[in-house]
Formats: sequence, structure tokens, C-alpha cells
Amino acid sequence: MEETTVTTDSATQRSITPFVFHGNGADYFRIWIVNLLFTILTLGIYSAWAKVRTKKYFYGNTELAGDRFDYIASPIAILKGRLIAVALLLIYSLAGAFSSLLGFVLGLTLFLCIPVIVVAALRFNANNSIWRGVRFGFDGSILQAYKPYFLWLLFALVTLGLGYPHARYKINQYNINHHRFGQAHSYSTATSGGFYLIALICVGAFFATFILYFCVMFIYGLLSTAIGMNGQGFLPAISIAIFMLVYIAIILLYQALYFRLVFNNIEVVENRLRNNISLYVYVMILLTNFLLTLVTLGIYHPWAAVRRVRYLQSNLWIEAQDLNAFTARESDNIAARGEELGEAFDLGIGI
Amino acid sequence: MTALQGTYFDGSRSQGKLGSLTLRSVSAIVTVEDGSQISINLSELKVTAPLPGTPTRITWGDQQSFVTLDYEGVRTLWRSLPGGPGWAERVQRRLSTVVVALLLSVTLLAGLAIWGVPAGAARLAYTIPAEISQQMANLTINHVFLDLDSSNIDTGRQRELRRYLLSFEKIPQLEFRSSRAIGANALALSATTVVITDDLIELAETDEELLAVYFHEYGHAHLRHVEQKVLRASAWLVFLTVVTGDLGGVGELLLTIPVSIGLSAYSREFEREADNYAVDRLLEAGISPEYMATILEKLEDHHMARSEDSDEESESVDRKLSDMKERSGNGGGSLINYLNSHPPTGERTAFIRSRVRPR
Repeated sequence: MEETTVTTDSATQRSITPFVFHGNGADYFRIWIVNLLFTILTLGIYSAWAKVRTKKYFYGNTELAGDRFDYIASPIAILKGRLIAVALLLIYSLAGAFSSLLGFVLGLTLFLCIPVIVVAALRFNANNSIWRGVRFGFDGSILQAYKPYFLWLLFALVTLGLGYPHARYKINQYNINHHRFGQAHSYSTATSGGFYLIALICVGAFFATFILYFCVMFIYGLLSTAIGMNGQGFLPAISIAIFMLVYIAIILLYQALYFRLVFNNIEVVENRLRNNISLYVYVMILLTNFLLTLVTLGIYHPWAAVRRVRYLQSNLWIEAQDLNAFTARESDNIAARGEELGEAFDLGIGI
Repeated sequence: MTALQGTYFDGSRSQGKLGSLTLRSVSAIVTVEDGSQISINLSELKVTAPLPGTPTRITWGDQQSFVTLDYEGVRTLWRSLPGGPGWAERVQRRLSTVVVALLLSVTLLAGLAIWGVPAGAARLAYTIPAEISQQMANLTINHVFLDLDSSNIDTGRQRELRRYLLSFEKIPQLEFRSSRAIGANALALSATTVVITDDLIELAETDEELLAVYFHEYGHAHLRHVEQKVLRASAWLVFLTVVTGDLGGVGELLLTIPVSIGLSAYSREFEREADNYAVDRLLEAGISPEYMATILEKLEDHHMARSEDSDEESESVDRKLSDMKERSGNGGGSLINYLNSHPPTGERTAFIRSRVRPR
């Protein structure tokens, strides 16, 4: 197979093995538009197949050390999960209409079930990811998941959000440390301080923008009063748009910082995942993707998705010691339910 | 056929071996670089649907696999296997069918938005039992947004007005309330409940004007407009969850924008329906629809004045509402809000007056 450039980093005695992304927007557009059309025509049934095809396209175009990744989930398993998720959503919303108490009780039950859904989703996704014929896996238990996904989140709530970065840290530890490739476990070297730094940067950026916005509006108010206008005009309208854009940019900044932290701190048996994502470039890519998708009423989506993944992967590499020695573990079939529940309720799981 | 070039993985180690795969009549032969051969029964072979640009995994037995990037080669191989390429592969292969798929998707989505969802919601809305409608109204009536307080209108006047309005049309719940947040206004909260504010009762100079407003709100209730709106919103939610299940992230954020725009367009269509209904009922009762036109004009003046007030005293009454709705703090809220959900007043009064003398 094709061999990628493998250079040796003399300082660490490891070879630098980059990720290479081969996908392009035009190819993905073909797949995406067929997914969309068939999903509409089948009233949503095809969405399970669409999901597999999408993941397959992105995994299949991701190359590491000459070999591609693959996603091998069964669409039927995903369909079952989706049907259960839709049924639960329907019950939940109907119950809410009948009685707010019943809706509250059901909502609470669902909330208590989040760790269960998360574990099932992580397990399903890992088990269906494959590289060089060896499957990934996730073997965190549900009981263990209640610590980060319930107790630590509760702690974040009790501390009025001050404990939230630490909760994120615990969640990340749980997610990464229970993943494995074949028999080799991965582990995270990220620290709690790293997550606090992210929070500090984002909160700081938010307040800085807010103060700047306030100052501009104040000066504008002074000026327009001096001239004798009544405060209604072009600037207030456009400044709301700019403020919203900055707000979105900060959310994207958070995503970029988070990616940078998590994917600089994963190790699998002396093989280290590293990236040098530029915050500015990545946020600008996401922001222009958002605007272009908006302007084209969604048609740009395939190009946007490819552009984002290509940037991430072209700045992601492994300081590899040995990528040939991994061995597989007896794998079992995991039902798709968890993952689809997670998606329907938008938990945004994923490493 | 010619051999497919690729990599063989035994499924237990991450070290692959370069090799080739050739097809015989009943079996496939994988030859790896060291010269050893593996023979696989054709019925055992599983080929995943190939996607352009991505490798195809051919698997058999206990996790063994042969991975190749030879897309065309796999297509040839596929013809000799049961199943073969599916519809998706056929459509995405040619530019012409891709263009057709794009046009068809756009048409279907537009059709669903313009016709499908509203028609479905209209049909379903009438099957909602009265208890649920009542429950919906109870939830809205206590909402902090509306800031509804008990009425300050003299109880005798309330009783008289209630008797007058209900003598034309009965509704399970007719509420008179005061509200600083929404000023002179009337609301249909669901099929069971209509609310009229003190300010509106004071703004109206005759009971006929109030009857016109009541008929308009009763029209909303009778035609199940609130129920339809809720159903439309949930239909979109379910639809978007299913269709965009694969988009993720910013894509989802983006797709909610047309929905909210769509919902406000729907609400204008409902206002026209309710106006039309009210005019019909007024004519039926032998009352001139002119009353409706005059109260609408008074309402617009009222909200225009409220907007200017909130410009001057931005610290006061409208603050709660404007905070919640993320106003820029430069006022204009009351009027803008009113205009957003209703068709232009001039258009409405012109329509109403055109029906004063029925054709």
C-alpha cells in the first residue's frame, strides 16, 4: 500500500507518523445528497444507513502509516436504536403535555440514565471502528460512569459552575482511559489545570467582548445624543449581529481549545497523539463554514465538513514507537441503542 | 479477471501483508507477499458497499480481511457476488443522477415545509383532547413573559362584558387580566382559553370593538392555531433530528434558523385566517367589521406609543421583557414584536374594509 512520509524525531527516539486525509467535498457531496434524498423518501428510515455511509467515508479517507480506518457498524442496529430513541422522545413530549409532574419525573429518569446511554454509545462507536483489521474497544463500566457523568457534574452544579472544568477533566479521564485499540489501552495525560485554563480563556474572551461592545454602544449613544438622533440606527442593528458572531466564535474557540488539549494528551503504549491546531485558523474555518453553509441553505455542508476534518487531520500526528505490534481482542457484538439515544438527545458525545 | 491489489490482515495483529486477490469460479484466492495463498469459498465473502475514494474491506471467516483501494476492481468483483451495488451507489456514481437527487431533495424539502407539515398539523390539531388544550393554556398563562396579573377592571363591568361576549360564542375559559409586559392585547392560549388585557378593554371605545377582538381570538381557538403551531414545531424537531442526525455541531445550529423564520411566517397566515373568521362572524351578527378596523388602528397607535415610552424611560417597566428577549436596550420592542407576528395593520384594515360591503 501507499507509504506515508515517516520521519524520525531524534530527540524523542520516536518516528513522527502523520494522519493524512484523502476526502474531498465533491465526493462527499455525492454521498451526502443521496443520503439526504433517501432519508426523505423513506421518512427517516434510511438515516441509519446514511450515518454508516457518512462515517465510513470519513474513516475510510483517514490514513495512518499507510493504512485507512474503517467504520463497520450495522445500519440495522443503528435503526433499532433510533426507533427506540424516537419512541422515548415521543413519550416524553406527550407526557409533558398531559401533566407537567409526569414530564418532570420522566425527564429526571432520563437524566439519571445519561451515564448508561453514554457508555453504550462509546462502546458501540469504539467497537465498530477498525484500523489494520484490529478493532477499537471501550470497556468502562456503567457503574464507573456514574462518577464523572453524574457525581462530578452534580459537583459542578453545587459549586455554581466553578467545579465544571474539573468535572470535564474527570469525564475526559473516564472516556480516554477506558478506550483501547485491540488489547492496548489508551490513557490521558491531560490535567485538571488544563481544563481550567480553557474555561478561563473562554470566560475572559466573553467578558472582554462584552465590555468592548458596551463601550462601543456607550460612545455611539453619546455621539447620537450629541447629534440629536434618537438612538435608532444602523450601528445598534449591526452590532447585535457582530455580537452574536463573536458569541458563536467563542463557542468555537472552546471546541478548538478542547480538541487541542485532549488530542495532545492521549498515549497508547508509548505512542503519543499530538497536534498543533492553530486556534485562529481553526476558529476561522469553523466560522466561515458556518456562514457559507448558511448562505447556501445547507448545500455547502459537505465541503464544510471535509474542510474541517482535513484541517484537523493535517495537524494531527502520532509520535509513534511501534504501530505494528498491536493485537486484537475477542470482540463481541454491541447493540447500537446507546449511541442513537445519545444522538437523539444531543449529548454531544465523542472523543 | 485481473487481480485486486491490496493488504491482507489476519484480524488479530495490526501488521498487514501486501497481497492480491483473484476470483475463481467458486472461490477467491488471496496471495500474500511471502507467496502463501489463502482460498476462500465465495459464499463466505462479504463485501461492504464501496464509497468513492475509500478502501473496500472484503471480509471472511474469523475477522480476516483484504483491504483494497481498487474501486472499479471491486465493482467488477461485485457483479459475480449475490446482491451487488445498491441504489445509493448507482445514484451517486453519475453526475446526472446526483443533480436529479439534489433537485428532488430541494423540491421535497420545500414541499414538506410549505405543504406537508402544515397539512399534517392541521389534521392532527383537531384530535387533541380538550384536557390537553386546557393544560397547554395553564402552562402559558403563568409564564413570566406575559406577566399576567388579576384584572383591575370593576367586577360589575367584567361580568357585563363577559356576558356580552359569551352570548355570541362560548369558550371554556375567558380571562380578563392586567399586564405591564404586553400592554393592550388579547391572546388565544389554546382551543379552550382566551385572555383580554385591561389596557385593551380601556382602549376600546365600544363593546363592538371588543367583540371584534374576541371573535379574532376565538377564531384562533376555534381553528386550533396554537395546537397547530406546537405540532408544527415538534414535527420540525423530529424531522430535523432524523434528517440531520449526521450533521452535528454547527450544522444543527444552522438548521434551526430557517425553522424559526418559517414559524413566524406561519403565524402571519394564522392571523389572516383569524381576521377572516372574525369578519364572517361580525357580518353574521349584523355588526359592521369597521369596528375591527378601528380597534386595530388604535392598537397600532398604542404599541407605537409604548415603544417611544420605553425609549425614554429605558430603566422602567419594560425592562423585564426586554432583558428576557435580549433587546439591544434601544427600545422599539413592543412595536417590533407586534409587527413581527402580525401582517401589516394597513393590509389587515384594507382587507377588513373590503368586506364591509360584501360582494
